[in-house]
Amino acid sequence: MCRWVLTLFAALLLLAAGGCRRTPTEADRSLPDGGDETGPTSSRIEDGRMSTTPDDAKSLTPELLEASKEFKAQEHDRREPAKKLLPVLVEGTPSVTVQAILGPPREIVWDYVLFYSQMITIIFDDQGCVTRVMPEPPGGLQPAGSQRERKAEPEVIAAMRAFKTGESDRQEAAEKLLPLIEAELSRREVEELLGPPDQKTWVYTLLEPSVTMLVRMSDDKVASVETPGLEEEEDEDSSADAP
Amino acid sequence: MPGACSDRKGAGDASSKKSTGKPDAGKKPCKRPPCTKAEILKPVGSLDTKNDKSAWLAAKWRFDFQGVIQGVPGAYVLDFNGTVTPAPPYTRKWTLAAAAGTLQNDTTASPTHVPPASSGEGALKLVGMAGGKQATCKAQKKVKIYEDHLARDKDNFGTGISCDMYWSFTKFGATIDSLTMWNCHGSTRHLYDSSGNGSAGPGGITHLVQARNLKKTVTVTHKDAGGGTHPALGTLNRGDVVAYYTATGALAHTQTCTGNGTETYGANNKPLSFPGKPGPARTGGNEAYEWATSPAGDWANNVKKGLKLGGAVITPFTIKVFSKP
Repeated sequence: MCRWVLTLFAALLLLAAGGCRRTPTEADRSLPDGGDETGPTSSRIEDGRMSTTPDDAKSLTPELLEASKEFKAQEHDRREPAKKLLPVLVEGTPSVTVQAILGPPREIVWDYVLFYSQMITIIFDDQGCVTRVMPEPPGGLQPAGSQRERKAEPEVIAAMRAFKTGESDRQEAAEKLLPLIEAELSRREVEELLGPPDQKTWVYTLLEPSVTMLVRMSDDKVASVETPGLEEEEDEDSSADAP
Repeated sequence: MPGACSDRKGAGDASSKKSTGKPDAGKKPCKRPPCTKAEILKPVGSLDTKNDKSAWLAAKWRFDFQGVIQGVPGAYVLDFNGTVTPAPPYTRKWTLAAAAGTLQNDTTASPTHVPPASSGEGALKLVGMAGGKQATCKAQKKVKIYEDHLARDKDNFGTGISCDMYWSFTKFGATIDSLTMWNCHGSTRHLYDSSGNGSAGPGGITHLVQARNLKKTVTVTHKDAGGGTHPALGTLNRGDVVAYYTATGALAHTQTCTGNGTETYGANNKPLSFPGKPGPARTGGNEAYEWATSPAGDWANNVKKGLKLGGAVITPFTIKVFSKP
């Protein structure tokens, strides 16, 4: 009984923290890129109120509303509702609308271009916390808080500035900053280190594990939508039906 | 257990209900002992069947039935394992087509594969044995041996597909998904000796761009609107690495020669589009992030003359050809 109460308490703490495992800062909450915003937005979705923006209510037909509900409710195979919803996710669609239609993404990916063929890719979970970094920092992804003191070092501050302004070789600065990206860092904290990413991608799973929907965001609006694996699945289905 | 019997063809297989062969006079038909099951557990996949993901060795980036010939850098042997039931009394007997190599310890659960000296493919067979005779149960898979890692990877990944995050490919019936990006250096390394995870910085391929292996150095002539040129790179052999350096000395790109004229292969190997900024198109850059073949030396032709990066002019690019170590 006691354990059950503790578990419930921990879950409530997580919810209170905007879903992250740590208490987010005010700045975290203000980030427009999903994550800490996921909590309140998804609440609205679960309430069945789709009108997160006036445009949503106008543009979604009853059929699309049904597809949206199905997309969010379906845990295993979301391909059919995804196909119906794809035409709605046009370039320029606000991220809040995407979230209202599709629900929170499984992952959010931030890319920073360093050089030719060189990028830092940071993956946040559906709670907005860092789960993976590529390339992996030397020695692996460090535990939350373990690198806090290093962030005040003058050479790190200089590297942060160089990385953000792009005035010098970003690769050199990245070497100093990469080890400071810890597990469970919030997006705000990552942004403090590296500045805004060159690309944000919201990742939705359509069919585990191979079919995904990648919603590329630019200025918190849809830049493009890709569905790797969906076409192949269709091809396989059609070839299976062939005599 | 079998006793004296005719071994004439057609008289022996107990699994065959209708036997047309006639036994020799005075001898009963030769029946194979009816073992229950022979199963090849490794490799999981087979060249001649529709495979599923379990045949893919994710950490090694190849199917488990794909080998390379002996003697290449990073050569490896295929992992074979199988069972015959019930054991005892039944024992195992493995055979491998000569084109796919030979076997040692061919009556054990895990025979040792010895790759051939040249590429080929062939059947791996496991049969049950009893009393020195072949039993009824048998299993078979087909393996393929490539001339090098380049041939295997090119067969698997092909061209024209993404190598960016969440890329996937379908081969031998299986759709394989990658949660990570492959870059040019990572592929150059994997094409050489199968090492790495597909993503590498310049430090990950220093062994492939050593000064002692330098064959040729030329400089790109860039133009204001793209369409630059470069002098000929000389004779290119399979496995040679072509590397591109900016004017500031940074290694920007590598590609692997296939030995087919000036053709090169690799991840993110499509020549840059104008004006040649780093990064995939989705970040505003001019890199395609696709598996591609392209002519050696052409990758940087569309870099704008005088292009600046991080405050420094990075043209002209220098191209260096390194022979395969």
